[in-house]
Parts: sequence; C-alpha cells; structure tokens
Amino acid sequence: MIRIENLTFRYTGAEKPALRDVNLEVGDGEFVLITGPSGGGKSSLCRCLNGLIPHFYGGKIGGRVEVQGLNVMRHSTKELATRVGMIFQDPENQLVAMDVERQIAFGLENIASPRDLIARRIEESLDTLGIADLRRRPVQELSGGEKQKIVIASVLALHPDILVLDEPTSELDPKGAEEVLGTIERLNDELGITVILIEHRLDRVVHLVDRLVILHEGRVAVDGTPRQVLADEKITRIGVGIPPIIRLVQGMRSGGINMDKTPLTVKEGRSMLESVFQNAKRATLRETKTLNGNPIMNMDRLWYAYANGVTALKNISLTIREGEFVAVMGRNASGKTTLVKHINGLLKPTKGTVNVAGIDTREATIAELAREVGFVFQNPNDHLFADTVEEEIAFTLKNLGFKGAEIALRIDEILERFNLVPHRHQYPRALSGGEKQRVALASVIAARPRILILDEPTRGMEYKLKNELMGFLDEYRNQGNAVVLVTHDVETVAEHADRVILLSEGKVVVDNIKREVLSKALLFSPQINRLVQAFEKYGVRGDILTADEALEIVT
Amino acid sequence: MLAFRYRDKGTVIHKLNPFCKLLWVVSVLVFALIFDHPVYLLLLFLSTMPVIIAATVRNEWLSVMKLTLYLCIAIVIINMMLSYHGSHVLLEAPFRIPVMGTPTVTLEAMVFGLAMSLRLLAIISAFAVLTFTIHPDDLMLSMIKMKLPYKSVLVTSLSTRFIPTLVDDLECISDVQRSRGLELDKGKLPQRIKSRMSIMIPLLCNALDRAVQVSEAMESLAFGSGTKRTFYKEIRMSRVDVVTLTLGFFTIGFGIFMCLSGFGDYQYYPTLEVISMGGLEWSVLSLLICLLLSVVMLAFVKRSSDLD
Amino acid sequence: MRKSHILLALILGIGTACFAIPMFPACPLNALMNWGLVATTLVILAIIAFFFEFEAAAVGSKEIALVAMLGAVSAVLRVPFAAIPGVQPCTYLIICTGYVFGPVAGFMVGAITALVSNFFLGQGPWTPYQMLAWGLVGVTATYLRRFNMNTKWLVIFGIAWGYVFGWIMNIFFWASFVYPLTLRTFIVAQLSSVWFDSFHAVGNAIFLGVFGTRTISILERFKKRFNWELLPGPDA
Repeated sequence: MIRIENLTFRYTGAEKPALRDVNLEVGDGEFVLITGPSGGGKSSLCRCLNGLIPHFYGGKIGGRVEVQGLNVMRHSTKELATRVGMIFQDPENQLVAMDVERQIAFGLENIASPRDLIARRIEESLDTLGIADLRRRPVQELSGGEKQKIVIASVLALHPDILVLDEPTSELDPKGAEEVLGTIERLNDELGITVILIEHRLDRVVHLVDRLVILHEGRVAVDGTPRQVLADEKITRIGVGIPPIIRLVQGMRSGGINMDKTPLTVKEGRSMLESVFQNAKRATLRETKTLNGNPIMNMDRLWYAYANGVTALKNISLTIREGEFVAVMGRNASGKTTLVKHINGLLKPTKGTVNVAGIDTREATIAELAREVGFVFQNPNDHLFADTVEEEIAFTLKNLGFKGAEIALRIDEILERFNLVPHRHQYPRALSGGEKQRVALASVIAARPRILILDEPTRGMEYKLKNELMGFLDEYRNQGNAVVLVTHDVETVAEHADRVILLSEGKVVVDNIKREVLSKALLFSPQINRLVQAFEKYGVRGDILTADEALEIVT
Repeated sequence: MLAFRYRDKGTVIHKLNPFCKLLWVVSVLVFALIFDHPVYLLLLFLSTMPVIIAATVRNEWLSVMKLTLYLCIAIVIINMMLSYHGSHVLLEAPFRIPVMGTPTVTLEAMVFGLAMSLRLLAIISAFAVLTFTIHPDDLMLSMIKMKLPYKSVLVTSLSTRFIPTLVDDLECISDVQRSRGLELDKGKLPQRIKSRMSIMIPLLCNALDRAVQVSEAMESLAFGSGTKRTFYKEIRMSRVDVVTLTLGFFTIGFGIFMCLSGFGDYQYYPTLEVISMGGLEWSVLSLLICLLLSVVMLAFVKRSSDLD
Repeated sequence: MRKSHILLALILGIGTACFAIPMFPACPLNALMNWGLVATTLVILAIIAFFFEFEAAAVGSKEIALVAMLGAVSAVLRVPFAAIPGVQPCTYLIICTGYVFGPVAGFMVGAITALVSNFFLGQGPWTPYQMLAWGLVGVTATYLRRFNMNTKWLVIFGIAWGYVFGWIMNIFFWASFVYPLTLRTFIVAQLSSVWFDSFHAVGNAIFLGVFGTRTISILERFKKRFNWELLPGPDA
C-alpha cells in the first residue's frame, strides 16, 4: 500500500517545485502506469517512494509519503529497499558487478543475509525471470534487454512488495523492450507485486495496466483506468503520446461519429470499429513524392568487414537523392549503423565504392566530408563540451574552415531557427533534455550539410520532443536536403519518411517507398495498418499507414 | 583497444586458487631480490617457464619479454656506466667529469648488469602469469579475504567494471566529434592535446552523470553505511589448496633460511668470485626450486582428485 | 587507535630497522637486505594505510561511485593519448580530483587508476609504485587549493610532478638493479629517464594550462550539485 498525501518537493537550487500537492493512493497488486511530458515530475515521484528523495537528493519536502506503513522521511533507503525495488533507465549504470551472480547477490550482501539464503534467492530470481542461462556470462557481453532483466533480478532478490520502474525500456531496442515489459507484466500478474511503471510509449503497455496516471507540471492531471484517461480530452492538450488507434478514435469523435468505447489494442479495435469501416469511402491516398531528385550519395557494391573478420555489409548498392526522407530499419546488428557510417566516411568500404556529392569517400577525410554530410548521434550529451551554446555551434563551423563573419551569421540564423537565442550564452550541458537535443542538432545543421544522418534520435524520447524533432527534419528535407534516419520506430517512419530501406544480416532486403514496405509486413507494420488489414474485405485499402489517412476515409 | 589482458583459457593454472598464485609470485619476487648469485637467478627465471607453458600464455609472455629486454639493456648499460668499481677494467675514459669521476667500464659491472637482467626477467615473468591468469574479480575476492578494507576493494572492482563501458563511450564520442570535422592528428603536441578536449570533456561529464546513477542504484539495492555485510562469493579453500599454501609459506621460509645461512650470496665487486657450488648447495637449491614449482604445480593433483 | 596509524608505525619501524641493520655487520639479517624489497614492502604498506584511511572516512555510495568512475575515466584516458609517447592524461585528472575533492579522494583515484589500468596494460612490480606515486599526486594537489593557487601554479605543479613521478618509479629499478646505491648512481639512474619524464611534464603542463580550470570547474559544479565531500571520519 502506498499513500501519498499533499506531497510537495523542490530540489535545492531549483526555482520551481518538481512536485506540487500530489495525492495518490496505490493498492496492493495494482499495476499503475505513469506518463506525461518531461519535467512533469515522474522521476521525482518515483524517487520519493524509496526515500532517494529526500535522503539522497537534498531539497524542501512537504506532505507525507507512506509505503507499506513506513514513513519515507524517517526510514532510510536501505530500510525501504526490501519493500520497494527501484529500476532505472540505463541498465549499464545499475550493474555494479562483473558477473551475474554477484550482481544479484549485491543487495542481499548489503543487508547481511546468510550465504545459503543468498544462494536460494539467486536461483529463485534467475528462474522467475527465465534467465538462468545468463548466469555464467560476463555482464558486458550481454544485450541491453538482458542487462535490464538482470537488474530486475537483482532487485527482486530482495523480495520487494512494490516495483518502481523509471522508463526501464528507454535505452533498449524494441525486442529488448518487449521482453522487459512482458516480464514486468508477469511479475504483477503471477506474483502479485505492485508495479509502478513510467513509460512514454503507451501502445506497448496501456492494455496491461489497471490504472493510468498523467503527471503534468508536478501535479496529477488525470488519474483513472486507461479507458477513462485516454477518453479525456485534457491529455491531448498536455501532450501525451497517444497510441495511433486512440488518436483515430478521438478524431472520429470530433468528426461526429459516435463512439462510446475506446479500444486499447488492435484486436479491440477490429471489433469496435468494424461498423465504422464497413461504410468507409474509397478515397485515394495522397501518394508520396516520386523519387526523382538529383542523386547525392551513391553506394556501389559495398562490402564491409570489421577487423575481427565479421562481415557487416554485403554487396550493397543504393542511391540517395536530394529532398528525400529515408528511413533505415532492421533488427539489432543488421548493419544499419555500419551502413550510415560509410556515408560520412567514419568507415571506409572494404570493397566497392561510396560516392558523396562526387567525392569518393576513400579519398576524403571525415572532416572534408563533414561539409556535405552531417551526422547526429543518439545521445546529445556526446556532442556537448563547450562552455556556451554559441561556442558549441561555432566549433563545427571552425572545424570545417568557415571564417569569422560567416560563422557569426550562421550562428545567429541557426539559434533563431532552433529557438535557442535565450540560451546563447548558457552552458549546454545544463539545459533540459529537449534543449540539448536542439543544440546538438543545430551544431550539425549549422554546416548546412546536404545529407543529414540521424542514428536512433528518438529512442527513449517523449512525444512532444519527438514531434518537435521530426518537425525540424521535415523542414530540412523540404529545403531540398536528404534526411537519413536510422530507427526502430515504425510509427515515426509511417508519419514522416518517404522511403524505407530494410536491412537484414548486412543485406538490403527491401528498398522502396514506405507504403510498399510498411503495409502488410508482420513486424514492421504500424498499428493503424494492422487495424485496416482486417477491413480489406469491405474494400478498405490495405496500405493505409497513419491515423490521419484512416480518418480521411471514415469521415 | 583496451581489453583485459586476462583470458580464461581454462587451464589448471587459470583455475588455481588465486592465493596460491599470489604466493608464488611473491615468492619469486622475494627470492629474486634476496639472492644475488647468478646461477640462482637463472634457475629462478627458468623455473617460471613450466608455469608459462602450463598456462598456455607463451605468445603473450613473449610479447612482454620483448619489452623487458629493452629494460635489461638499460640495466646493463647503466651499471656499466655507473660502477667504477671492479678490478678488470675494459675501458677507461681519458678525462674526468667533476663529481662523477673518471668514467670506467669494468667486466664486473657488465656481469653484474647481466645478472640483474636475469633478476628482472624472473620477476616480470612471474608477474606475467599474474596478469594473464588471474581474473580481476578473483583478485578482488582475494583482497577481501585478506581483510583489506572493503570500500577500497569495491571502488577498484566498480572501476574495473566500468572500463569497457567508458571505452564504448569514448569510441562513440570520438565518432561524434570527428563527424563534426574534428581532426585529431593535425598540428604539434599542444594542438593535438587541445583538439582532444572535445572528446575528454563529454567523456568526463557523462561519467559523472553515470556516477550519480550508479550510486542511486546502489542505494536502491540497500547499500548503506553502518551495519555489517556478508559476502556471497568467497575463495573456497579445498584441502589441496590448504596444503599448497602451507607448502608455499614453508618455501618462503626455507628460502629465507637459506639466505640467512649464507647460500646464494655472490661477490661481484671488486673481483668476480669464482662460481663454485658444492654438492650441498646444488641439492639445497634444487630443493628450493622444486618447492617453488610445486606451489603451482600441485594444482595438477587437484584436478585429478576433482574427477573422482 | 586507527589501523592506518598502526601501519604507519610499522612503516617507520621497518624503515629504521633497515637503516640500522647495516651498522651491525655481524648480524645475519644483512644477507637478506635488499633495498628493492624493502622499498616495495614499505610502498605496499603505505598504500594499505591509505586504504584504511578511506575506509574510516565517512564515505557512502556517492563517494564510492564518484571515485570509481573518476578512476575509470582516468584509466581510459590513456587510450586516446597512447599515440603520443610519454603523455599521461591521468596525472592531470588526478591533480584536478585532489584539488576539488580533497586528499582521500585524490589518493584513491590515483591509486585506482594505476591498479585498474594495469589489468589492461599488465601488472608488474611497478604497480605499487604507480599506485603510490599517482596517489601522492592526488594528495598533494589538495595543498594547491589550501594555498589558493592559480593556473600558473597548477602548471608548475604539473611540471614538478612529471619529474617526481618518474623518480618514484625509478626507485625500484635503482634499488634492485644498480650497484652501488650512492647518490651518484641515484642521480644518473634518474637522468636516464629524463627524456620520458620531460614528455610527462610537458603533457601535464599543457593539460593543466589548457583545460585545468575547465576541468576543475566541471568537478566543482558537480560537487556543489550533489554536496559530495569526503570528510575524514571519527577515529575508529
């Protein structure tokens, strides 16, 4: 049982409180999903539940938090650890030991459990999570999903009654995320552990939870069953990433179609929406632009082998044209990143050629290619090192040989475009997550590269920021540049890309306009496409990809 | 790139109780330093070979030995240039350097330098076994068992654990900055160091962020001050291990006793002593080498007993 | 009595004994006397004494994670600079750590850097000497702050440590492999590594001059944000 009464908390040195007057009660065995835009207080609320706030993070706290009858202000995190298990975003930073067994034993060692008990709990935790086969593997060789499961096992070994998970899947690929979420669901369902989960991607979990809480500006904005909350109009205003199928239903409602229930899954959608689609119009779809820009990047029979002998790319030939938005998709280790690293010369072909704007990459340095190709990596923190935002952007320009007046001009322009003018003289690393992302992007775009590559920029990103980023990319593409996006995010691709390249084991499996690739593909179909496939018998086109397209034919 | 020098090759030496290995390395180090006799040093060096071969780390060992040879040359040269002692003068400079005296090269100094090279080779060879066959984690466990302060051991083990992570970070950050047009190998030394700032600062800052998250995770796993803790994994001492360790301590004692009784002494200066070792000395020395080897080689006995 | 004090007494005892023994040529212990062995033993005892000091200091998970991570960074920093001979970025980072977080953290980060990086570069009889030398770099850096010294002093300090570090490292080789052990041979043995040490010193000077203040301000910002401090604890 968790009881939070009038909880208000402000970090030392912060201007605004992170939590204001929060009241929440969670019963035993409940599965609660917490979501909302960043800066809404989700993480702070979690950290109050095991006493990291106020014992670890200093600040001003008011109100009362009671967990299993213990007041967290008076009990240390150590005492609370056997009641509340905490799991954070990045599994890497939660693994303190080099081997699996010692990682799981760590918590129990800390509370001085006898050795035979530890041995028993290790077995138990490994079996509960079904990861007994990992026990002898060194942790640094494991995948992100496996690492996160080991973290969960090490928390579970302390036998907590409550699990609190702060975006546990944001650093994982879809397969890892799926597995971790499945595990969490099972822990709740079979063992009756109370689960409090923070997650941005509602479509993955919303059907599993008992309750959905939206936090906004430190307050509980909406609280109820998923159906109630998702039917609430407030959430669109707040900016919560609503699953496409629910966006479709909301669109129908505002379009005058009477919908009394809200489907949470594709399966529910198929039965609830059948009558609507039976009478759908046969509208033609706006076709994606034909691919006829000037080619700016050309790969010709490209092979690449790593120094250890593993062949990562096999005989790849493709062309990228101006004004194209290309998504590169595929499983983990299918060669996506290896492929795009060839475009800016970070990797040079083992065999075959890569030609960028008339330059053979083998004969150019990365710095020379950087004028033509910009590369934005996943973590903006890897980009930022300068003292001010302005210097951060100037660094790229200076490296590329631009001179004084030109640099100043471009900086002004780019700061304006990315709404960074007020932050001009600030320390980039102290900015918020979204602002950091903008600075990183700005520092690359300032060089006006004709090809812009982004390696999984949306992983773990919340809805609002993702929208903002995709807005910038659409605009940049419309200026006649090519955008290459490496991603796992099918919904984003369905909304924004023109063309999809699907890689598997270093080979191009499909390379076509998105409608061809994404419709009727088992794994890579967006939610709406999976829905409309059921209605093809009524003459609905099977290659509809987004909620907006579907709305067009039903309203 | 940066990778553990340790590889689990699964040999008996790899599986040997880390205490026995540590004790063996310490014994070699101590004997190499207390004995001056060139024959002793040579045998000591040779006695590390069977261990290297049994651990199948010959190639790794050879690469270490190559580097060590440079140090050996330095040792010989420094001794030849420094020791004006010794009666067999090979070369004498026709001038005097103030304070330093007249540079003289003597036979004694050269032999001394060569003997000292053997001393170095024996020590480095023993340490190579340590580097290549003890997993860092096992070393930590030994440190805990030896009652070294736990927090220091934990810090070391955490630090080792995060090296591969930070190496990945480093590679990624370096890719990021090179993609932004950074050229690492341009300019003179100050410029080269300066250009690496854009890599070092994010690496440091990311690591500090990690430190916060690591400590949050540790707190959440009930790590806190005050009460005592238990240790799940411990270095188990089988009967063979206990025998081996006892033997190891006996060996060190025996070596020290030999040294105190005047064995293994050798006079390099002012005139090289004639190497004359009696039957007693040979047998005592062989016994010592056998004892030393058995500290490691008893492990073979253990394996056959494991099969029962 | 604190354990580190017992160790300190032990170090003094052994040290005195070693100087006393040669005065009595009749004593059989003379046969055992090897200054390389003595120095190594003393160095190891000194490191353990510092470890006990760290144990006694009021450290929690925050400080442990911080020291471990800084040690790892400083070990990893040896990679991008491997291409430049003699330059040791660790020294500069350890100086900054000692300057900001005090002597205990400074020593620990220094010692950990040596121990951990040698898992990758190779352990040897030099490991304890590196641990002590870098540890002392961290400890002494604290005094820069105490006397409120600026960047210029930081650079001079770095240059000085470039050489002192080399000297500490040479002690083992000098004491174990050179005869006779006189001031004259000591100086020449030190001179033999002067080229290498100069690179180290120049590297330190550039690091501290170019981003010493920058690094210190990053660490300060971090310290302030999390209130992290290593205070000597009450006598255990």
